[in-house]
Amino acid sequence: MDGNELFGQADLEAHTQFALFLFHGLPSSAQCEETNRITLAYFLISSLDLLRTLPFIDKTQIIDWVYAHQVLPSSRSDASDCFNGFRGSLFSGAIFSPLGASALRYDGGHLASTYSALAILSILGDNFSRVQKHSLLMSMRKLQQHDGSFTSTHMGSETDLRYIYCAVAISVILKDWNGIDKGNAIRYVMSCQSYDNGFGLSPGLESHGGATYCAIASLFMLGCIYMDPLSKEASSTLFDVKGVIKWCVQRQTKSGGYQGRSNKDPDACYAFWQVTRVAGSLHLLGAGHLCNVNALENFLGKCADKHGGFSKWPGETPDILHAYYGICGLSLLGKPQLKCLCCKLGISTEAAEKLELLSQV
Amino acid sequence: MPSSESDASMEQEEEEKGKHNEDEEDSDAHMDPKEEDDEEDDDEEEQEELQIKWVPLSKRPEWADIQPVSQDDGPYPVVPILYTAQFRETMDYFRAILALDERSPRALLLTEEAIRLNAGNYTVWHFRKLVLQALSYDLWEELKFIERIAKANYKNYQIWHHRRWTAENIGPAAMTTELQFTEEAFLKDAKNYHAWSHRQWVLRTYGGWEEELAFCDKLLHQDIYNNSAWNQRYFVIKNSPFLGGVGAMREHELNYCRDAIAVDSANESPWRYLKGLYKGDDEALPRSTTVPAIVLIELQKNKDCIYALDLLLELLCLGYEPSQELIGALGLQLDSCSAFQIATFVCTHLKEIDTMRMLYWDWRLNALSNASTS
Repeated sequence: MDGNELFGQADLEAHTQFALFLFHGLPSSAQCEETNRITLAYFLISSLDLLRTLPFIDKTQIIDWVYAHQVLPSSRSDASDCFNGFRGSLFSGAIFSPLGASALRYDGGHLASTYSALAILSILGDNFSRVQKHSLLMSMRKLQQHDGSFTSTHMGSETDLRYIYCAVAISVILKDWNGIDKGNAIRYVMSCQSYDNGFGLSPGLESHGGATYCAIASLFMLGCIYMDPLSKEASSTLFDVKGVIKWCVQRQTKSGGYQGRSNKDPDACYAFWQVTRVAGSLHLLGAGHLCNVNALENFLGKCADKHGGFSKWPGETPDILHAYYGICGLSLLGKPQLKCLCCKLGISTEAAEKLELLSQV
Repeated sequence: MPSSESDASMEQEEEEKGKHNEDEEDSDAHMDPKEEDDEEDDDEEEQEELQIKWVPLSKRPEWADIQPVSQDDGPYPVVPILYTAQFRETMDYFRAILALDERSPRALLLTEEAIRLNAGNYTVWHFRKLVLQALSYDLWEELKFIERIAKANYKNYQIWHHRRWTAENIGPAAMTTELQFTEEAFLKDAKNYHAWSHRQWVLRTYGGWEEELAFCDKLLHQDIYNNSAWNQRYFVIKNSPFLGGVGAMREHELNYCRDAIAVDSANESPWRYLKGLYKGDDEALPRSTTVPAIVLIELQKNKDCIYALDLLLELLCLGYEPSQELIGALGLQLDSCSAFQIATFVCTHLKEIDTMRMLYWDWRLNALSNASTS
């Protein structure tokens, strides 16, 4: 399939139809993603936004649905450490209310769900009037550990760069850094850098495209990467920017797609997923132009399904995650039919600009 | 891209891998007689039994006193999932037990049923911990339970998190079983990120460093391209209390890299590892005699060796002055070459042979000339 054919109007319409189809209902095989439902919604809504087809869905209903996931402060004695962010779904028994619901027993917000919820609200142009910002940020701070990392919920979880990214993005969206000890977070991110200049998910682990994206996007938003306005070159006092750029460009394989780790079979399952992570990191480091776009476009073409959506591998069934990253990939390739992607926040630049204009959250 | 951050996407990614691996495992099981066929079959049977013989909780007398609590998705559910009847009812009863905070043997069984339907539900796992504690449950038995669950999914964050919690609560006595548990995971996928993370935690918390370098060596003998094993090797030389750190191990490791590179000079991992031995110590790199010797050996074998040329360029940028032999290996005239000219030559050559990264090498070439003019 050549580039023109792939990105023609008919193809974009098929991608929209695919996203809308899933938006209205997922098969029972998605049960294992039950706790991440709000993130699945974010993938689909952001896809539609990038495709300029948001008007096909009802914003008011979605905004109410998102707010229903907000965990409101509770007077329960066992809820004093509860994270007042957003739930991933209403599985723990909260009653639906367009303002949110107080924490039940063993109920609470999740950092990734909270990021997804705020991203959806930003995309839909909500003004955050119902967000309980103060309690959200104060309780988020309690999730930060001594080493600077975050757990995802107050009940504990593994801690790694994904949750640092979420906490940082939440702070940027809400324009308030009171929910995070920045210095400590920066130290943690840097402790995850590996001997080969990429970043692992936690200290000592192997460099990984997703982790490297989380690290670079976080450092970018934490003000640790300086972009020279004239040369457009990035620099940092914390790490060797050119070393990270090199690690990223070396992830592009013969197929044109990106591998997530050195020597991972480029043809194996999740090569596709890395496209936007690694290419996105390059963009954030002012080196987006170093990506071989022709090869990448070719690779994306092979994974696009003619009925819409993208699959992890040519010929396989498309799914939400790959469909979303495929669309992000098209956006990063600079396809004029799509909105531009704001690499640091994971929403369209248009939505990010609207956020900027919100004077007070 | 946004959601590299997100739990869901990473998890889904891992799950994708999990599914992929399951497929592989299926075929492997038939080919490799060492696979524990019987056990696998038992597990499959067990799964099937659960599917076929599932009795709705509402029909079980022991649950008659519980009023199930349904999920309230509101008037306009977004991305609704078409839950199976089994999933819906199990979760309805789980919600009821959660609200009652009932830490009982039947609650423990219910968490198992819920976990088998969705091992990603962190609240179910959390509640299971509380029940285990309340019942003073034997945590060695819990390790066995996790093994049964993990068989179907070695790439699930919540399972590994629960594993760590259980091992943490058992204490140092769990060291051996935990190292073995990761080794079982590596039999299925020697690059399993969760398993490596768990293994590093075990080493840091309970020790077991003595055999770890040999373990890395064993995995690298099985697959010299396994970057996860190279990473673990670095983790060991950096953190093992018995080896003296990266600096002390450097020469030893350079030799190890030399041998690995000799097997296949297009293997990125040993080259990256070699360069990593000098991380944070850029000054020592151009002073090394071993490193240029490795570059020379490989360029004499193949003057288009990308990683050797790449490393040579790094050396030149750090002020290394190449030997006559090295200049000769590049096919250059000895007398007419400044360091800048050699670097330009290497970079131009890389641009020609590493076509996927043509733009990158062009960028490096520009940086070289800018540096020389400024």
